[in-house]
Amino acid sequence: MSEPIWNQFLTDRDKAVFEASGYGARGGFGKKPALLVIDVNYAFCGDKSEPILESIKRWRNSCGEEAWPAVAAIRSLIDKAHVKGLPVIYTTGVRREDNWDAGSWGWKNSRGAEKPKVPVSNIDGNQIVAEIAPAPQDIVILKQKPSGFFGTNLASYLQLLGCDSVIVTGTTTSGCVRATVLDAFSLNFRVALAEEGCFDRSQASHAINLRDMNAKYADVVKTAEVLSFFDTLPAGLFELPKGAPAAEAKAVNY
Amino acid sequence: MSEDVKADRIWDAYLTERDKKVFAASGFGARAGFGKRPALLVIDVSYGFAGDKPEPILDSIRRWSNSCGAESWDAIAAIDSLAKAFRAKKLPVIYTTGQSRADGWDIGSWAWKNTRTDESVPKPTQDLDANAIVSAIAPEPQDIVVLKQKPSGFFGTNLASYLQLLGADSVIVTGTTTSGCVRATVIDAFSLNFRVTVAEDGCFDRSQASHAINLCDMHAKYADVLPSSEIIAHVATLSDDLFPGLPKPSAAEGSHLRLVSSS
Repeated sequence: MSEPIWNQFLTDRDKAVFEASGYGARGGFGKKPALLVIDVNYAFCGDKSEPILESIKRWRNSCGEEAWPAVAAIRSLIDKAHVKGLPVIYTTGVRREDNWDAGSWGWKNSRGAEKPKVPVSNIDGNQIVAEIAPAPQDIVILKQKPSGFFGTNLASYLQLLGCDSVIVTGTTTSGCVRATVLDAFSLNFRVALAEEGCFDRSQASHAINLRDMNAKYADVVKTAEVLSFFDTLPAGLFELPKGAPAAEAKAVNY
Repeated sequence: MSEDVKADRIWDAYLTERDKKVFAASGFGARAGFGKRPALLVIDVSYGFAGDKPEPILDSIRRWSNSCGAESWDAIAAIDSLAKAFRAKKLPVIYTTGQSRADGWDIGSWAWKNTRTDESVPKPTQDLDANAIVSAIAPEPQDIVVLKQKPSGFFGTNLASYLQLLGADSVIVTGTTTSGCVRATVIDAFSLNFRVTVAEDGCFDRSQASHAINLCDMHAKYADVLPSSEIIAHVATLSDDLFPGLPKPSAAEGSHLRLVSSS
């Protein structure tokens, strides 16, 4: 196995402690996995591949050019999940226009009040990037806080589908991916992360959060290994949404 | 990085040069500020995580697989100072610690990633219960103890309802591990729109890199990471009648949890 990305950030004592304390065992895949794609929208990717310090001038949450190879890895996972009829569940943010519901997000970022500066584009920062746009049978969860589970129906949808496990991808590794992994762990789902499908604006946070998750909560594995695992699954494991075209999806009036 | 903190932070040594520029440019790490009605949270400072005495971590984890070693005990001294300051102002002090069935059934996902999990089930060779809060900061009768099974103090517990009952608008978080249960509790408090402060010297972890980077992550987005001295100075400015609804146990009752039979 190649050297994990986090080793360069660890102290020698850290390596000895993890060896001795028994963490980082292989949790193993479940039998009925859903693929989660966390917050892969224009706000976190920017509207094109460019160096992060350029991209965040216009998109303050952007993770820069590392976002786009991850989008390609996620695309390959989505395609295989569709072939096998596995659930693909996206999350992205939702906010009132007057920003009242930003709540705690407004407290720690000095650029929190900025609207995305995109003079030549009408792109909504919360829109999932076109390269992995949801298919009709896919599920989109709108959320307001880091975890895909917080204040949403994600847990009830996984229960409805009969999932026992989640494969997590998206961004940021240290933020919403980590928070979602934690809640999935606490709910006793088996959790795996496709390493190349995760990205972050901070190199150190990306590496160390992968390490923390691999130690206790999830298996951090290569995308190729997840694809091989999907290959071993029989078709027809799930009764997925039938997928009315988006134009026909209706809000319910009460 | 916060404008008002110019000194090097513990996480600087672990960041790349690009990381420092990105954090500065993207606006993260602003000072959120204290709330008006804070509760002190003491996360999982039990023998299981501190060991039964200060000793180097690689010695301590031979007997206590989850131990964070000698650093635990420096943090326990800081937590003790914070708890005393909170109690002096009649502010809530809330502890969490773990619980599981004797047969270990409810350990669930914890067992999947650790090869020494079977040692977490009550072990005959230790006199001390790994989940007992260390005696140096034992809960006092008016304090609140929350028993939990997963990383966050909020998950599957009444912590959110207790904070609502008390009317707290903010939490000061201490305990262990910084990268595990402290971090998980901070995220949930943030998601619930509480103001969150982390007492840097009141937190500890078995991993040096995880400790530093998780403090960085929390300070960037979810919480103000401050020295306990600054928190104690703030607490000293608060009036002592903010929480008329604190528990008022009689001497005989104490804070011990008891089972209520219901019909």
